[in-house]
Amino acid sequence: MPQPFALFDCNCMVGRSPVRQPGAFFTVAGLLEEMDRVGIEQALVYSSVAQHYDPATGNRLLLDELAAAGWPKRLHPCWVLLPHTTHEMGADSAEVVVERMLAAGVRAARLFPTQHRFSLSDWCAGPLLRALERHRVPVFIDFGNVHWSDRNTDWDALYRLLKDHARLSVVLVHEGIGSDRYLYPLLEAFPDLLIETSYYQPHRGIEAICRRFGHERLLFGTGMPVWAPGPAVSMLAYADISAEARRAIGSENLRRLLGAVS
Amino acid sequence: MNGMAAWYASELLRRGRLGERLDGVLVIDIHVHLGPADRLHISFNDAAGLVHAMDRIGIDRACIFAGAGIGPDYRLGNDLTARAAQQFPDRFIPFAVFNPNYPEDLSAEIERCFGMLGMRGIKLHTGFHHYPVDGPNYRPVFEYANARGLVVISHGWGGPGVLERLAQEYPNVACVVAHAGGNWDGRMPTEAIQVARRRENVYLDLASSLVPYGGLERAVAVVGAGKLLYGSDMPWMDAAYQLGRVLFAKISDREKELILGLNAKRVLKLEE
Repeated sequence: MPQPFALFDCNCMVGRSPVRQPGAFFTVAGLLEEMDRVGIEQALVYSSVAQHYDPATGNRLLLDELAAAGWPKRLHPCWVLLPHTTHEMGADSAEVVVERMLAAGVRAARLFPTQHRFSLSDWCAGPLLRALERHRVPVFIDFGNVHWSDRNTDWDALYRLLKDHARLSVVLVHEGIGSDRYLYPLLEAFPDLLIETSYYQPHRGIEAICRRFGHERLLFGTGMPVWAPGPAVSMLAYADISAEARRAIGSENLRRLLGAVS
Repeated sequence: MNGMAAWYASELLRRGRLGERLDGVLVIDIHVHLGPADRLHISFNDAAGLVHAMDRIGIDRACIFAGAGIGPDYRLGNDLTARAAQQFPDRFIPFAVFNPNYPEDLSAEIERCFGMLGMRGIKLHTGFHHYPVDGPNYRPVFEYANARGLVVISHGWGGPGVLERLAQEYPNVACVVAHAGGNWDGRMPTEAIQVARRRENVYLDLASSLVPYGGLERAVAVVGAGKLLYGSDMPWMDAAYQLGRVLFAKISDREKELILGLNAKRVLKLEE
């Protein structure tokens, strides 16, 4: 008999978007309603405006919306960040950006290096990555692949990042089938690399990762409201893994990451 | 747990949320491969690896066509498909693959597949084989399928008007448009969506790596649940992926049951 397990979705978005899927929510209230319907207890949420317009504006709007909703305990903000050197994050130091983020109660960051056109290499993102590493802030990296055959992921840059920032928890977002031949060597070499599961749909892929690398390496995510939440839930629910592994991937791994932020 | 009452409103959603085996629900997977692939690492890709996944979920039967067939060697693929079906005769429904780039083999291979190998349907991959679905080398395949009322599932149905023309010309063929139900984002109707709405013998399968929010609900609203077939694309993809899309969709449980298996049972002419 399957055992119930909690879900803490690490990949949710709120706010209006350039394209809206049929019936998709965009408000905090809509997200909570959909979480109720699907059976998701908590979510880490970032702003669509931060992704598609301006990170500083979107991050502020996100906090405003959460405040207007009475700071629901089920939702945890995630800021979208840029390297500090163009001063678009409102400070001339990456350390100040991260300190402001933490002071606002935000314990996770998300980067869009392809869409926002910056390099993850040290000469560009180094100060930001060092500040995040110092405070143990988990970093969600979205290379902007939509279909698994897209080739936006800069695997060599990711390798260098992981090598240069050994204490940084990196979560690779929306990586699909066709990535394992890049992913496996990185998972083998870098224990703080994790995979977000919304698009990670290789046949029995969750089971294979758990067997080979351990259940600590996966975080449950849905990609709502761009993507339907059911596939990610079902993949985890039906995976041939232990109840302990399901709990870890479903919620505990993310809680552990957020709890380590200093 | 918050919202428990809301999601218990669908029994199938409840089962999907818990990972409960779908015993008592007919589940037929219309789109399953077998074996490795050039561009992917695929764990557990043999017949036993597929059946293991089917058993966990409660997938009763699967239409299989080996990856080698849609790839380089369709005869090898057909052999592998037949062997898997012999290994698990109650679980796999073998589909033959024909490569139109070898027309000299075609008649003999059709006879071999539906004679000695016991194939039950046909899979075409116009993309990998770089050949138009309405090209002359496919004609014998459609003629054969039409004479016997077979299912033809094709990845690619050609340019504008081709799908409708073939569906009209071969009315006894159940034309399954691979991926067309799954990939659709639910916004501007594609040609496949429009033709499936008009033509009785055109169906859409859900196999897709993309699962746009609300897309399945729109497909049900536009073409009707009776035209959609659950397909996983296993072992390229996890069988629970598209399954979850159906289980958690904002449609009725009856519509979910049609998509998961009852439609395929009718299209494949399976007995009780």
